Amino acid sequence: MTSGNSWCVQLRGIHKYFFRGSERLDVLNGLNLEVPEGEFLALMGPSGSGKTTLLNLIAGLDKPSEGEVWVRDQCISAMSEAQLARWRTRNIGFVFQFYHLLPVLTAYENVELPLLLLPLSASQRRQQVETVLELVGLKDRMHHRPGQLSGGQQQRVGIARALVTDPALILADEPTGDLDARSAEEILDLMVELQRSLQKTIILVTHDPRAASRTDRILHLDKGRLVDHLPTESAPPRRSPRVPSGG
Amino acid sequence: MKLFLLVLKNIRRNLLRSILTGLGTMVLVVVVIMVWSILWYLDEQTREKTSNIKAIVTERWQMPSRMPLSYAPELCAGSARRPEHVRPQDSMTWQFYVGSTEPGRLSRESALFIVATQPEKVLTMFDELDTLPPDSPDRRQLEKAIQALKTNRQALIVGRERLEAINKRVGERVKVYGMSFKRIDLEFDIVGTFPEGRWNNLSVMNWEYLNAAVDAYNRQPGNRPHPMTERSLAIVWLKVPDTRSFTAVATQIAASPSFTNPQVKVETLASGTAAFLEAFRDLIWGMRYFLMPAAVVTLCLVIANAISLSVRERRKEFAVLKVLGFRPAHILGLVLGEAMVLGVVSGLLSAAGVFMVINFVFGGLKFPIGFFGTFYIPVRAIWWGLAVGSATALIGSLVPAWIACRVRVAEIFARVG
Repeated sequence: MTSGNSWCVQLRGIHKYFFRGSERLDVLNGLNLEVPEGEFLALMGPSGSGKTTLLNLIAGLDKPSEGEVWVRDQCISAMSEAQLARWRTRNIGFVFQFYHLLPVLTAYENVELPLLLLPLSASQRRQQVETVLELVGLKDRMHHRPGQLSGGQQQRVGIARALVTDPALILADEPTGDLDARSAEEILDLMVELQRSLQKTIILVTHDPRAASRTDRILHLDKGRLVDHLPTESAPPRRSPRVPSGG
Repeated sequence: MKLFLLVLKNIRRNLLRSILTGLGTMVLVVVVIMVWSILWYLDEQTREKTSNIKAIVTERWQMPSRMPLSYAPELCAGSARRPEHVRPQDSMTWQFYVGSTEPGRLSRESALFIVATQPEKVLTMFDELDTLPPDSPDRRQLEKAIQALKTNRQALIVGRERLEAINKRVGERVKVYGMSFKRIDLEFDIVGTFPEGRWNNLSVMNWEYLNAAVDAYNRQPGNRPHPMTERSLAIVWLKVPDTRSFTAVATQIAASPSFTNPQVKVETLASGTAAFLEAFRDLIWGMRYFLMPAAVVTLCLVIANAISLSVRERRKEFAVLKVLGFRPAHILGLVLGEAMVLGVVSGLLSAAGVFMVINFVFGGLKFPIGFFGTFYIPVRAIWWGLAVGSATALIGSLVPAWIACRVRVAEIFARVG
């Protein structure tokens, strides 16, 4: 099964619902979405609108109740948990709001974690880790533990960890949500720079209109439906004229 | 190996908890090893052998066994009356002389339990003494004492603990007031001790001295024959090469017309010991089926509790690992690995520690049961420690590890966000 086109992500008729007792809670309602290769996409919406659920579906962390999720040429909604785990190692980089670095490991070791699952020698791993740490400007802090780094630096480590396996798709769940304005701006600069230089497809979930305005396209989710998606080319550089306020 | 380093780092994460869990494991492994050492030793003693069998002949219907000394020659020959009869390879007689160093008072500090036997048999028939390495200092020292026992009828070899208890030293003289042979008091020259171990509380004298003393008592004008005269023989030991020989000798003795009043019975040392240990059946049952399982279950619970706490605190972390591509099997391995490392290290350390401390510092585990006053931790206990530590760690961490590997990422991050 292949999708046979240049979409990086394609969602077809996605429904996601949960049951609380006998009551059905619809989180995503018949959602269709296509994200081209190399696009930097922002997903916005109020709390409970289904943004994180959608991100989890794209990352293969959850399965749709109905519909199909395609990432590049693979229908990941049909994969088993073990297949998905293996697939994620190579194809997905995930950046969390709260960084979620392992406190017992140094920055270097945190970034190295996904590489432990790949058949690489120690020197190959070292080379890849040092390359991405240099890319995020933290090579001089690579032996620091998360507790010895600022929030912005920890998020840079998180980004390096997402990039280290050279995945096609980066998913970022409110990566600036826990940072002060200056650090948030630095992280966004870094992400834009990485997307441009490395041609990664990035899907950014955010409540922050300023963060969303740095992307190529903004989609708005409300009650499990895509209610608005506007290209940002006509706006001032990398800003959308119709970004819904309040996130 | 790559993930093993992660396991080690996770153990260091909450060092205090890891140390406390390790210490808890060590304490329980120590209990298990000590109990197992006793049970193992008793099992060894009651396991029937198929070669180099020691048989014991005792009075059939009475405990303690009291046979006439006149039984000794025929019993020592295995009642072999015809050329085709099987003869024992070796034999020894035991008469028990229990006495006190204080007249009329038997206390822990004064009691002496003396076996009157043939001196030359000490090195050939006594368990564990018969296997002393030829050139070992213990053997050389014992040979010297046995030589003194042969040449000096009043010589006495005393077990180390007993010697200490009666506050005497080798070279000193001691007078023993007879309790089992009343009115027959004997003076001894202490000529040596047994090697540290099983015979720590036993003493051995030359049987000729005891029997000469009984004869002398009987010869004294006005004395009636001493009541022990015809019932002084407690045990006859026979050594036979195999089960077939044992059966033949036992049949010969049973068929002999010489042993009708009182009748005698022949059994292997193992079955004799087992019969003796029947008196301690409840205690041994309790150790084997209650104390041991209780310690093992407690150990599992200690580990399960510690690992469960750790898993509960790190649910988000496991979810992150899954996001990074770790499969459930990886996470299962990480959690089991942490428990196993704790269990293996604690088990090994405690086993090695208890082996060294009990054997070399305390001189054995004092647990008076039957003839066995002191138990030693066998070298194999180190492997028991390893096995108990790792097995209980594995069992105790199975459920928490399963919970960890079943963490649902979407649910965890739904709670976070």
